[in-house]
Amino acid sequence: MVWEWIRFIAVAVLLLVGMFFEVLAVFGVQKFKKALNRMHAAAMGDTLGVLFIFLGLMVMRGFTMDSLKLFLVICFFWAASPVSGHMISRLEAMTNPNLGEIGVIRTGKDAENEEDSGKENEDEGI
Amino acid sequence: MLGQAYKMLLVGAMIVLGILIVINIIRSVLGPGISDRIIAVNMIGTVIIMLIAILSLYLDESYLVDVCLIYAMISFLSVVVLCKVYTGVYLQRKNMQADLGAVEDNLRRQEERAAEDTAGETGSGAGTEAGESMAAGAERQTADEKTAPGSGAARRQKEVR
Repeated sequence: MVWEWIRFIAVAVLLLVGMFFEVLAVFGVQKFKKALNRMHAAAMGDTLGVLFIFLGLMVMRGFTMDSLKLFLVICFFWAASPVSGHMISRLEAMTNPNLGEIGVIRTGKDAENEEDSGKENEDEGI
Repeated sequence: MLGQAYKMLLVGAMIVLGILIVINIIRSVLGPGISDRIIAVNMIGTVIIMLIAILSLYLDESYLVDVCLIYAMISFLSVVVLCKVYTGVYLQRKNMQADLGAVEDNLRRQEERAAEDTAGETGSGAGTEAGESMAAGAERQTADEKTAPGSGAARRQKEVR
């Protein structure tokens, strides 16, 4: 009985960590302004979130055929996510004409000094 | 007791994932570019795969894991196909614009050449033999333009558009 509860705690921790990464990925997709930054956040959700959630489900299921299938889903995601990310980044690099504009982050003194010079770039910042 | 705890955990995870799907749908509608929409749709696919996997353990139905695997493959295929399609659409539009620019440039040059020919004929009268033959070559090229220079160019432009 004690071991069952220990397994439950392990499943809960793994699922919560996976949920945390997934919420973080969605938050990053909402927060970032440019498509390549968004892709960075989404790739984190695709790898770490999937890994921890499916690992939790595997621990919950034990050594069965379903665990093997869940492991196959993890393997497939880790192989497919970089490929789709590469395709999306190539599309973005091809279709976006003003990709080279760099958003500038200003803090403290720099913001006060360059406030008059760089006003047009303020909405480009992250 | 333990079964209740597992069910509560899985239901909580499914509720959180449902909220994430709604947020991602909002992003896929709002997204300024096409790549943002594709990223949001890809994330919706990932979240739905997790949802199906959790559901398979919640309902204790093992065949849902197979559905999950197939869903992952179709989601990956959809992202690849969407990227290919939008790359092709962008390239086609770019080529069409380039062709239009080339046609307009060509028409303008032909009009300029026709104007030069008429000016040369009225100005110098009879030139040398070589000049005559070169002018004849140019004349053969722009024969249809010379009969009606303005209307021919306008008609061709209209056909292109």
